[in-house]
Amino acid sequence: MAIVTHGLTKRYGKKLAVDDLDVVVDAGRITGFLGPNGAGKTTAMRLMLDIDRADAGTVTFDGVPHGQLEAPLRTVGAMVDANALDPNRSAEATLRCVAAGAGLAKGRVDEVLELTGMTTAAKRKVGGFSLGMRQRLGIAIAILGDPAYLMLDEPTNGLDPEGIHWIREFLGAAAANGCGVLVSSHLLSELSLYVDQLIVIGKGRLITTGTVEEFTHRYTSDLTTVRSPKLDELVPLIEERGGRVTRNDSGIEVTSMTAAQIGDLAALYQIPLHELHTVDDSLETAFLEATASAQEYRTSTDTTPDASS
Amino acid sequence: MNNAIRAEWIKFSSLRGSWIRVALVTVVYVLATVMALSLFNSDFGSASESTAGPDRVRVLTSGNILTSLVMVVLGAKVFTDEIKSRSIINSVAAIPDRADLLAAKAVIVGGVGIVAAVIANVISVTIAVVGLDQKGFSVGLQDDDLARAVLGGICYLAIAALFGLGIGIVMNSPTSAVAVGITWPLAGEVMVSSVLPDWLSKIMPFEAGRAMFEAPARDGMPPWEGGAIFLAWTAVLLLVGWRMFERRDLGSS
Repeated sequence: MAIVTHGLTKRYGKKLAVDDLDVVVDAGRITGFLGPNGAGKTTAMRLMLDIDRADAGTVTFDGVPHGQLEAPLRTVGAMVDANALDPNRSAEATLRCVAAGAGLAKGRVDEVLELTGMTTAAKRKVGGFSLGMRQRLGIAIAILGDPAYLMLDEPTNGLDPEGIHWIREFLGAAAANGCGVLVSSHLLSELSLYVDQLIVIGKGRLITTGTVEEFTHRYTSDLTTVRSPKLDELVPLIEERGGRVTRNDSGIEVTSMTAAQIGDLAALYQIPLHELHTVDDSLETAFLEATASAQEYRTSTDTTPDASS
Repeated sequence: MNNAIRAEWIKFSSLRGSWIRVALVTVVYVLATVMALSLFNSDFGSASESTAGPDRVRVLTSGNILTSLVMVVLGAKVFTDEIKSRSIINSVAAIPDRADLLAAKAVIVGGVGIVAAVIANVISVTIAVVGLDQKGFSVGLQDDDLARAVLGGICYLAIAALFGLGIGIVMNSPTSAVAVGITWPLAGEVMVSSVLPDWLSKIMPFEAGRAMFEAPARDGMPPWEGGAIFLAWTAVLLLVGWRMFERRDLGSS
């Protein structure tokens, strides 16, 4: 039970937005879709939903192509563009249009309004909505068909902390009920809080898939900085035990050895330490590492992924 | 398909703009009739009973040309509103079969077009008949193909709405669709016709369609043949639009 893409490719003019992408979104899990802005996450989602037409490749939902789904909205619900709403229609009417098209019962509209906390705003025109409210309405549309799969593009964009918390809880509950969730973000720190699985892409290409732990492990290395007045004694001791040392102006940087091991070693030989600090390579660093070669708009000053667009 | 039609109806009826355009159909039609009626008074008031016959029909059907522009816009907007707001992506999420989606739109545009045209005609014909009667000209719908001309006018307006839908789908944007939809029937067709061979200019869509509400029937273009030609153009336009729509990326506009 999964969404499976095979060789998914999309070209806009000369630019390959999605390049031969093979990914799997499992049922019952939350899969994070990670990549810098412009990496092709949104395009890939649109292709999976057949909103944009792929130049090549296939997408199946439990083996069935999107165009042949018996009940498309019950199979996959999506929010790929929170602003894709007619400003002159009320939230309720917007939902009723979609519900009618999918042949859903009228009561379902009221249910999702309630679920997304939109009941009081139901009769208001979408044009007056804040980004956060559009986001909620977009999510309401996505969950309208109580779908087997959910695809949300940057769903926490514009939501307040309470809304972000709500999204996480909601997606967690959905996955626990067997729903396969694909949720995109350019912020690994955010995704790492609640996803089971990661798909990382850059420049339209798949970089890696796996759990957050696997990803972090593969792309980070613990680095410990050490300062001591007796470095000359300490360095050979570390190197004897397999640690790798690089010197810098104020001290040394050690890899392949934990801070605890270095501290114990120093204590054993009575070497005073003035600093022992593990630079915990953040997930962001791992992410940058993984996508560095694939970053499209990278400049010398822009090193954060969200500054790249 | 029923779901798609129901969804289209909710989409149409939940926008105030839709109702404004439906109301505009009647308003424009009635205003054109009232204007023609007053012209009838000054220009043809002294005409004899025999020559005034065709002019009476003209009073009754004079609203069709202007009103058809409202219809074109009404039809185009049913498609282009969704493109402009990008809400089309929510429509295809529920109805991935794009042919179904367009067919449902055609059903709603055609249906609304007929109903709006009937309402406009009922009011306008009443005004025209009463007005002409006061001027001493009796009008019976059995006269001078009059009933056919009124019915033909209603068909003309409904087809114009579908033609507008076709323009909307092909142009894919409200501004260009409205611009083309208004200039083509008003001026474009005449300009193009001036360089075309006679047989071709005779079968241009709106030109042919107008034969439906002319009485007595135009030489060389029987009313329903003209209507069939207008409908055929519209069908071709919708088919071309459908083929274009099938290939289009809807999320990246």
